[in-house]
This record gives sequence, C-alpha cells and structure tokens, in this order.
Amino acid sequence: MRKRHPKEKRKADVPVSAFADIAFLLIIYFILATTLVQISGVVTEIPSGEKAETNEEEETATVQLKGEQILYNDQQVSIKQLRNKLAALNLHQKADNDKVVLLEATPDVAYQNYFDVMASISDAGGVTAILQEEE
Amino acid sequence: MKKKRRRRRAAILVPVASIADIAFLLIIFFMLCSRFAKDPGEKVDPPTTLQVNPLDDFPMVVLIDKSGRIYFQGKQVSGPEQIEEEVRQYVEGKTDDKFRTVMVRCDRTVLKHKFEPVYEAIAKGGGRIAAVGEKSKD
Repeated sequence: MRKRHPKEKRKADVPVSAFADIAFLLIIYFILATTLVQISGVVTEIPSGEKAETNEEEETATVQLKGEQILYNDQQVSIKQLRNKLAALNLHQKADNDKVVLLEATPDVAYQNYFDVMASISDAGGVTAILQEEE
Repeated sequence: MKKKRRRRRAAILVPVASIADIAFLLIIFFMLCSRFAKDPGEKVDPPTTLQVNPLDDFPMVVLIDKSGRIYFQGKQVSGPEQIEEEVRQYVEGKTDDKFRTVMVRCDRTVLKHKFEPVYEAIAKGGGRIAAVGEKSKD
C-alpha cells in the first residue's frame, strides 16, 4: 500500500494593509463633507392671505423700511428702539390675530436690514405680515 | 586589533491590521455625524442680528445667491412661482411643522424685489420660513 504523504499546509495571507489606505481615504472624504457648524436663524410664519382686511389697521403695528431707515408707526427709530417698542407690545401674551406686525419695505432694502427687523418681530413674539405696495 | 562584531538587525514588524479597524470606526463616526448640504455650494454671506436660535435640519432648502439666482434643493429654479409649486407639493398632507419649514439662505446684499417674492411664494405654498442668519458680535 502506498503511503500517503501528509499535505503541506499552505499559509493563506490576506493582504490587509490596503484596507487602511482605503479607510483613511474615506475618512478624508467625510471630514471634508461634514459641516460641524450649528446653523442658526429665525423661524417665522408669514400669513399667506392674498389681501388682508384693513378695518383693524389702526390697531396693528407697522414697520416700514425705507433704504437704511426704519419707521415704526410712521416714526423713525433705530433697530434698538424698535426692539424696545415691540417688546412693550407684549405680543407673547396676545391672541394669534393680535400678534400680527405689518412689514413694508421699499425696493432698495437689502436683506440684511429686512432680516434684522424680521428677527426683532419674531423675538418679540409677533407674526410678520408682508405689506405689498399697490401697483 | 579587535574585530568589531556586527549586530544582527532585528526585523521590525508593524501591526497594520488594527489600523484599518480604527479607521473604519472613524468612518462610522463621521457617517453618523455628517449632514450633507442641500445647496449648490454657492457662497452666501448670511445676514446678522442679535437674536438667533439654533435651527433644526429642515428638509427643504431655498438659496438666493448674491446675483439673485434662486435654488430649491440645490437646483436652480425659474422663479418664485416654481418655488410655490415645489413647496405646495412637498407640504401636501403634512401637518408636522418640521416638514412644512423651508430653510431660506439668502445673501445679505440681495434686494427686496428678489427675496420678498420668494418669501411670499413659500407662504402661499403652505410653508413656514426658517431664515438662516448669524449672531452679530455687537
């Protein structure tokens, strides 16, 4: 009878050093694609009505933006004064319908000023309603 | 003369197999932490104000760049009418405020005739606005 030779065991080496390269490439991709900055801003609900009723207009606070100027109920104010005046209205405690603050702006108003006023209204508990110029 | 004995150099084996494990753990961490931007990569200089709050990751993003181009979910749109339509379609049947909120990123230098129609379009489409801005230093 023929004697069987025990099979020589082959060493199977899986090349793993390339895994690290692939993994580090993926890490670099995720580091570049990740934004760790917390986004901040102002959340506001703008009434979507086409045309608002105007019979209560004398009661509603109105903010007008004319270029760099801010007018609160036809009185020129600074952004700080506007914040104080809006805070004095106690809009947080009022009913939803009474929270409306009308905002009107001339075409030359930059978003920076508009955003600043909108943030002030929102912070005071108000709801911004955009007033459009009659054509 | 004394002959110098040569030292036999020992083979140094660096175990690299565990590096991959560490790297993959880091990948998992970054994958879970990542929030992919839904804007077209346009540089926008955000407005600043004293009162800003941290915003959640809202599903709809509108971007208005310096030159007044409007983007919805990273794609340029023809105008506010398209924004209204897109928002209306997205909001349909959703009552949760989170799904109704549109994140608006607008450059601070954009003038009213460009951004206000977008605001109105979002409102008409049934959306809520989350205007992105930064806290001013003074």
